Amino acid sequence: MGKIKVKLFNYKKQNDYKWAMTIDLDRCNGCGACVVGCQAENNVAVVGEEQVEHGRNMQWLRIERYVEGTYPDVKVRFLPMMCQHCDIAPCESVCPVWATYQNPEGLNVQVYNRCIGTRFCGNNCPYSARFFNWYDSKWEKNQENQLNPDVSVREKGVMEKCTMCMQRIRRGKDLAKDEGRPVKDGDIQPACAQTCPTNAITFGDINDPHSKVHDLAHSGRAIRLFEEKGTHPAVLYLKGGSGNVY
Amino acid sequence: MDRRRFLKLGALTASTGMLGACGQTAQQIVPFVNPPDDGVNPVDGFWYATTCKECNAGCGVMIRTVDGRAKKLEGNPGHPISGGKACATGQAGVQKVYHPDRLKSAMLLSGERGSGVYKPISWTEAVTVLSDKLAGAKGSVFFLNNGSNDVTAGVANAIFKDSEKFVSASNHDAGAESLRQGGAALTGLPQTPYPDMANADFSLLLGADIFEWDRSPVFYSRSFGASRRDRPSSRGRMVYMGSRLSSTAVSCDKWIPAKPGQLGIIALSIASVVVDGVIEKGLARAIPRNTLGRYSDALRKYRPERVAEKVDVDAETLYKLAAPFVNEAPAIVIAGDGVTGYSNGVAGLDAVELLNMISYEIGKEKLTAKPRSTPESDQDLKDRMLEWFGPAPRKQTFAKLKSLTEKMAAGEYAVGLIHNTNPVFDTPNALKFKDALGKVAFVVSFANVMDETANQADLILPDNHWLEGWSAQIPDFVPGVVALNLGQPVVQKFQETKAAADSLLEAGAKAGLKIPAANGEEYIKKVISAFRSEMLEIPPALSDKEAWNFLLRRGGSWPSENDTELTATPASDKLWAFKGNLASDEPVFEGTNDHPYHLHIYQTVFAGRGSGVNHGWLQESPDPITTVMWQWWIEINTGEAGKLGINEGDLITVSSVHGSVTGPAYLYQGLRPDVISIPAGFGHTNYGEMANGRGANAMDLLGLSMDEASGGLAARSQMVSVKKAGGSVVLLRNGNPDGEDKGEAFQL
Repeated sequence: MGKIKVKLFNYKKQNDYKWAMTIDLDRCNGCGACVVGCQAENNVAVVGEEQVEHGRNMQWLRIERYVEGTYPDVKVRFLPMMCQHCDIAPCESVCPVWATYQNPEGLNVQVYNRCIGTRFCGNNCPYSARFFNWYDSKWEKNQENQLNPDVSVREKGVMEKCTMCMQRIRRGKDLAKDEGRPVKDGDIQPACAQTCPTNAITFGDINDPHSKVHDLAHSGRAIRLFEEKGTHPAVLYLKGGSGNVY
Repeated sequence: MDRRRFLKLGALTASTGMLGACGQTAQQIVPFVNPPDDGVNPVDGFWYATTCKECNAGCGVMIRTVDGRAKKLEGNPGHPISGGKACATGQAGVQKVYHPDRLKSAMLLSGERGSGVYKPISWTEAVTVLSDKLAGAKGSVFFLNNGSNDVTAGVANAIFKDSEKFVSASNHDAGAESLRQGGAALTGLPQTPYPDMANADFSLLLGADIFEWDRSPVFYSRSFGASRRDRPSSRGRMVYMGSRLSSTAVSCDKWIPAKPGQLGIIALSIASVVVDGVIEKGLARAIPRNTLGRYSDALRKYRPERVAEKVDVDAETLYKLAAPFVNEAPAIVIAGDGVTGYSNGVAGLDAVELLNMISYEIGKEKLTAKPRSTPESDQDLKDRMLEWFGPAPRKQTFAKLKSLTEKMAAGEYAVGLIHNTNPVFDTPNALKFKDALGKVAFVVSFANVMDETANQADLILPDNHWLEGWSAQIPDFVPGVVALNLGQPVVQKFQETKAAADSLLEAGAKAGLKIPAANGEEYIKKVISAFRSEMLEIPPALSDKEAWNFLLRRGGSWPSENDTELTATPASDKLWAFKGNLASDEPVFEGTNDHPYHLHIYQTVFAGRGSGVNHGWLQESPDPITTVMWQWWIEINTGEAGKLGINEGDLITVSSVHGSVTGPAYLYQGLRPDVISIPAGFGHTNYGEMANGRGANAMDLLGLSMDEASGGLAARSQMVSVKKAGGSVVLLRNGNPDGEDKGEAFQL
């Protein structure tokens, strides 16, 4: 059997934007500002201790940490993990109701009111980036006042995941349209990228050869997670540095 | 019914329904399609500049409000500390406005102290009670806060400053006073210079957990990112020395587990190699050679070969660590709790400052990595501004808190005012703060959620959340610039609360005391008019009102990077006048032969000193190192645990001469075998449903060892023992427990 040929979407020709993100692992210090920023922006529910025990915590963005070696030569690494917005997404092909699909700008999107909760997508995601609402989300008394009006609160029985802050992308595009110009690099920042104190996260249009994300993606440090699975994620990780320490 | 009649009825029903619906919802429809006259779309919301008060760093932030409710916090891009960025705790602060545990009104104790039986009273009544007590106290009053230089501290100081008995003390993070005073004897500067990490090629972190709660996590994280990848010439390298592989240490290129209490000696040892290297290579000609010679002589006894065994780091490594300073400046050292947490803290900091100053002299031609200190002219301005905001931070020591507690216990105080701090919970057990508080005739707490200290108060006057009121603060940690942070009411008050400064001023006026202003807002305006001519960024043509609005829009006053000489260098005659001999005493530890382990209490990114434990976002965020959620744990070295037969989750009891705590063990490779590490901030008994009963309070183990030179708490001096308590629990950790070693799977 010969090599499988995969037809890639030609975002460059067909569409104005192809959103992508780079995460610089050499800058990330695992502080968790992005995790809370995401939770605040996207109305992600706090499920409580009992549900966490069942592995049902919902953070769309989490920081994986890996411990390697033994004392005293120990190395711990952080890796922020969210939906990788794969070009060839394993979650999409298994959804019986097309609740998740690739949008024209390269994002893997989830239509909540189409989802019937089979959880096939979550099962098929190699990055464990999809979360199922086992219950209707409840906020402690008064805390619903903080909910972001731009983002719907999901209900019991649907899958949810990182949207790359779709609401911010829409606002950025609307603003650019009102001003009669294309979106400029840096106009749109997802909540995680805006808050990241070390500037590890960069978001932008990878079709734009002058964008920062394009530069970083071509810096030679970029890798994709589980590249061998052929999912072609839109999230690229920039490898950590090494060399002489002293 | 014929078809025509059916349609008529149907149409009538439908239109009635629609009319009814319109009537009900018309008031709530937001006119999205018809933008209002001012061009602001209410759905997009409004952004206000203000100042985050979740910790003392003083980050300028922007808050998005929609429909009168605070929705999201982002950093203020123009602010010298936050630079447009924010941390997890700051962002969680927004949700605290709507916290279910917030107190709803002023309350007066109606049962025994500590019973928690309070009756709600009106604010008029509350102010009257306070004013009666203040009038009767005749100046026998103390004020205690978390070390913030803010309006409340300033107002308290202004009202009572003429009274001899009045004390304004601070219950701040351990070690802050040492960091302020360290190197002062050497440099002659009133403020320890800040080493410029953002431009450094090589940073040596001596027990400095700068991304956790040490000084400003946001500022240091920005510097870290910039050092690593913002300079095209080279990638910044960092080495961390300390007894625990902390979240900061993990981000460095190398961790060297040095012996607890020896980091000051290590700094002296590295300094000895650097001084000799500078002499040998003829570097830094600006430094008088005879000064260097004297330093060299004084440091000889700390040569790496002589101290290697004692500090548990081999001599070769110490030489390697010194090399970047001599060879390729810019290199810097940052000291933290690993140095200041012991009785010899300040002595170690002198060596750290010496290294930074020499490094600066070597590298200054490159115009990078300068130690930033406040220029002397600006320091004068800062001092004069600080006078409006309580005692100078460098005078606020743990020794002062201890002496206050002793006086409280002796029944010397009639009224105690406690603002924004929880000393009953987070001071060392041995201080016996709760008992001392019991001897104060009348205790007033300004807490806006119930906590262990408020529960001992006679009167609770809930302060506004910082998004609901006016605030001003002089951040003590600003690299080289003098800033006045402003905070404004971003949302309407959610509960019947009152700004602490306003409560004090109203009660003070009623009691016939001399008050500095009618309310907090007026007080801030007074400060601004006093310093208006020195706030160079305000366009001179603006009227006072316009200037006020200008500052509110901006979030405060600070010189822009271009306006100021950020890099004031210490006057060389001061720096290079050799002062005494550099030396560090052996650290003193507290414990007996039955206590073989060093106790290492630290603040996790999310829990802090305890303020994050009543918050869902922060509790459910996995701890960066252990990935534990919702729980508390005790860290022990994996190998050591094996020797003691301890597995993950086994309950273990840690005991010191002062007390003991029991909790589940977390086995960690990144911890010295002779150290037991425990996160602070857990074990609340009266901090709301979400926090109570989670874990135990590490402060129960702690004694009162101090660094006499700075008056700071030597929080790492305690020795402890460990034994199995029987039983075990499952630690709730994020992800697959088998996934410990998958880093290679991602080819990182």
